[in-house]
Amino acid sequence: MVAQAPAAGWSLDELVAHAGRLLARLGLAARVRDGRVSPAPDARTVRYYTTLGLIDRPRIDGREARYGRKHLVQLAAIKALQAEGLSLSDVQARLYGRREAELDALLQGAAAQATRTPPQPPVTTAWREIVLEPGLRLVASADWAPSAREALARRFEAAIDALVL
Amino acid sequence: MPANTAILPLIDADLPATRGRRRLGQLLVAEKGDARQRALPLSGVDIRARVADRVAEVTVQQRFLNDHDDPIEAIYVFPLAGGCAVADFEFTVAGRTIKGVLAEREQAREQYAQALAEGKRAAMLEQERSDVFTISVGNLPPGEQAAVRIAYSERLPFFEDGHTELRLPLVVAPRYIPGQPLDGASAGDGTESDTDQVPDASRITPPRLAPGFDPETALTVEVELLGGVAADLACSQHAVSQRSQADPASTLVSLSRDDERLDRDFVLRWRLAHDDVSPSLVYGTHDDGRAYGLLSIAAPRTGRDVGAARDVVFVLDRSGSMSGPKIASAARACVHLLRTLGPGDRYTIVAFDNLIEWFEGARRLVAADEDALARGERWLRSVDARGGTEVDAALADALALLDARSDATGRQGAVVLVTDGQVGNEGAVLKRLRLTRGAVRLFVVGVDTAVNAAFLDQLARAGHGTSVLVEPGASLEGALVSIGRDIGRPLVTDLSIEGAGGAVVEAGSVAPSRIPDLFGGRASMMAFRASTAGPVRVRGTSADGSPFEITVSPRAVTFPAVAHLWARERLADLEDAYRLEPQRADALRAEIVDLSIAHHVLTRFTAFVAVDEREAVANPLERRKIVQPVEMPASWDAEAIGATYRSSAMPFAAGVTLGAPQAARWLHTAPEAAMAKLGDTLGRLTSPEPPDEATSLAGDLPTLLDDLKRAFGQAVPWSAADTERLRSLRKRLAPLEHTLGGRAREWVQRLISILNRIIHLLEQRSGHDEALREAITALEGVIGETPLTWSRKRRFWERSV
Repeated sequence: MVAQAPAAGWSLDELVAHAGRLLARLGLAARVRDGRVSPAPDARTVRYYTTLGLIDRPRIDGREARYGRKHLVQLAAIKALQAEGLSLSDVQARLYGRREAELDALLQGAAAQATRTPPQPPVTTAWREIVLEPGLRLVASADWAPSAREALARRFEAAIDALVL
Repeated sequence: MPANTAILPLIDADLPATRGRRRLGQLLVAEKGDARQRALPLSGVDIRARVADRVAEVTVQQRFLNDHDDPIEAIYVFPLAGGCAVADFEFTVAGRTIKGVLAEREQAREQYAQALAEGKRAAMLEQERSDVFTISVGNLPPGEQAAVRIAYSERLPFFEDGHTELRLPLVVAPRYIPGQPLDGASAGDGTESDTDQVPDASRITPPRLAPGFDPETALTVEVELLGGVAADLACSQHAVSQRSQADPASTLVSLSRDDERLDRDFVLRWRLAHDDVSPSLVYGTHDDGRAYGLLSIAAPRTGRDVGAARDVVFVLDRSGSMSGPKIASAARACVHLLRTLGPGDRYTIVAFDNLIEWFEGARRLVAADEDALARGERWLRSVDARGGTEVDAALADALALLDARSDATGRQGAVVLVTDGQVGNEGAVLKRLRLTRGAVRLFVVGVDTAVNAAFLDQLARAGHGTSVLVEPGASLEGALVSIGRDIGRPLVTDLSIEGAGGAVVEAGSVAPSRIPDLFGGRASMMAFRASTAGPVRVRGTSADGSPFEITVSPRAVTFPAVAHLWARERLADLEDAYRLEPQRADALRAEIVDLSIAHHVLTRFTAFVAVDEREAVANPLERRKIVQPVEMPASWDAEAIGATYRSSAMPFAAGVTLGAPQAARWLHTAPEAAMAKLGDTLGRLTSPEPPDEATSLAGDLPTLLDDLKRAFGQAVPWSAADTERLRSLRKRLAPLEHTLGGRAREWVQRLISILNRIIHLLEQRSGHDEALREAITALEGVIGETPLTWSRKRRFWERSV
């Protein structure tokens, strides 16, 4: 599914073009376009991802940067996760230190999901947590909004009672 | 808090202390097993320092964890105090502690690679620069923890007002890498390829954490100040001090938060109990039976203002890494030093990035009269940060100007370099300075929270001058007093040292071999080897030509670290010679390796390696190599720097004139065209975003400003649709408040508040044109002083890709 790089590798522009085509073939481009990130990574972005260690340093050949299949998979995986709504720091946390085979699997998974279902909300749920006292925590999902406060306070007391009993 | 505990004042309250503060209790639930987020290998850093008599002995423990399902090799590029003597290395894994062995570097690398190939656990410590090191920890099985312990000693600087400081660097800042990338495999695991000018670029460019990524590396720092309660303690991080339990005469300082990030130097400052800079001589021994001495002496105080008229060239670093508060601090430092010039002096300024730009477009010295100083100050304030750091060419140009003076009789030449020193080709710069003979001294002002201190200090020493470090935003004036006094006026020169009363100072053992001149109120330090620990005599020439001579007796206590410090100084001399004399390279290299191993002090030509021979744990084919990504230094603009930049092949041009700073000018075009263009720009700014907001904003905000000026420069009907677009621009900026840190965030907040005002005025537009213009002028101010210098940055990005 992923194009093999020629022995001489790709130039940065070619890498970017291949990544665009790969995302389209995997059915990820449309999802990307709906989201908040651009489908076609540009050369500048690739350099930035390199400084983040998300894309390997290119090979240098005749003083030119040359990219291969792993670079392509790395770039596509970043875009695939961004399409799921992950921020760049979350993408870095997920992808950092990944091998080519793992990234392949991740791309396959994303592609399978893309063909099965329309774009879904992010798969990561953030929770906020407050320690009320040692042994007791209050956990709220990130999209929680308070309902009627008094009713909430009553429920809270009832919950404490239930826990104590 | 115990009664004897005190909270230390912050050294630089201007810096956002809350930047990147860890979020309270966040729980992430990820359901895909294999895509689970894995912790980065570096789990903690613990630093312990003991300071006695201006010698610090520091141990740094780094803890690593393998959070993957297969064995890993962790690589971490990290800083230690520049010029320190690393003398001990230990590797603790699986309950065993293995002592590191110092060996010739290639040999050590082979041993390490061999151990990993055999499936053993091993660790290696290499030195890349005097302040940049690489640790490699290999074959950590899944779930396993390991730790390395590095011990070093360091001489602390001290200042005229009786203060001293301990600086513990915590992050290797991005460096500008000049040159063309080299073919073939690079030597290291960094993000840059090796280049013809920086052949080890790949070893000093660790990956960076994305903005907002908290690696949750635990950091603890404890500093023990022995012998006497230190006064006027201040710290760059939140810290507390208390009396030591064991020794009431000692002070213990520790971080008060457990979530400080490794994004700036830890700096602890205090006043010495005995606040005059009296000569001091301490000895230490080594297993070769000889005595190693460390001498610090200061020039006698004089009330007279001696010295000749001065010709000073200020060399100002305006490279991309200087953007934000740093360039402002650097310009202010220059302004301050300008004011120390007398009417008999002459000066000029040169600012450099890829280009070299002279003050008023002319490569000449101007008389430092009131008018010329005022012009200089104005010029300095118009300089902003933009391109690469080609410090070498700028220095060469400045030195050439002074060398070419035909009217230099009786005038002392000086170059003042103001920079963060974040360049990769230190060697070439140093070499140029060492080859520059003549009556020109180099003074260095380092501006940064994570300054390349070792390099700047080396520069100043090579140029017979002094260096001073200032934090951006901090009180510059205090730090600059002494350098201002120093420029061009050493009080004692031509120093030499000999034994007095029994002790014989070994010929050629004094390090540094070129003993630094004495400047007012500063001490010079030198190390030497002697037959026995006895008094020494120092001779020199005072500024008025009279002989200078003092005899110093040793203190009773001995410091084991002195032998290491002597070796480090001596090695530094040898390393300089290695750079300067390629024809002797092999012999010098052998001498460096021998001395390094004999004295157990790390160099760039040697490395520590520790192999756990007990068991083989891993199938080497399955090894995963992970390079620890590091923080962007706190005062850097993460999203603006973005890529570690590489210079395009940009020719140098001398005498390029800076454009005058743009005053608020109203632009005039046809009203319809102006409105159409504004509509376009707003449309672009509010469309679904490209990958990173900052990049597209970088180009479009100044365009928007121009468009607004065009639109409001003439009375034109303002459409409701455009007001709506401004609203969506505001909406689009809002999330930046959360993703940016520090000054950039403040800036976005101000931008939003001005947009609010403009929108408000537009909504009830009737006779408010003056107010609108005011608001837009304010907007211009804000866009103009952006910490990210948007437009320049964008041009630079385009050039750098």
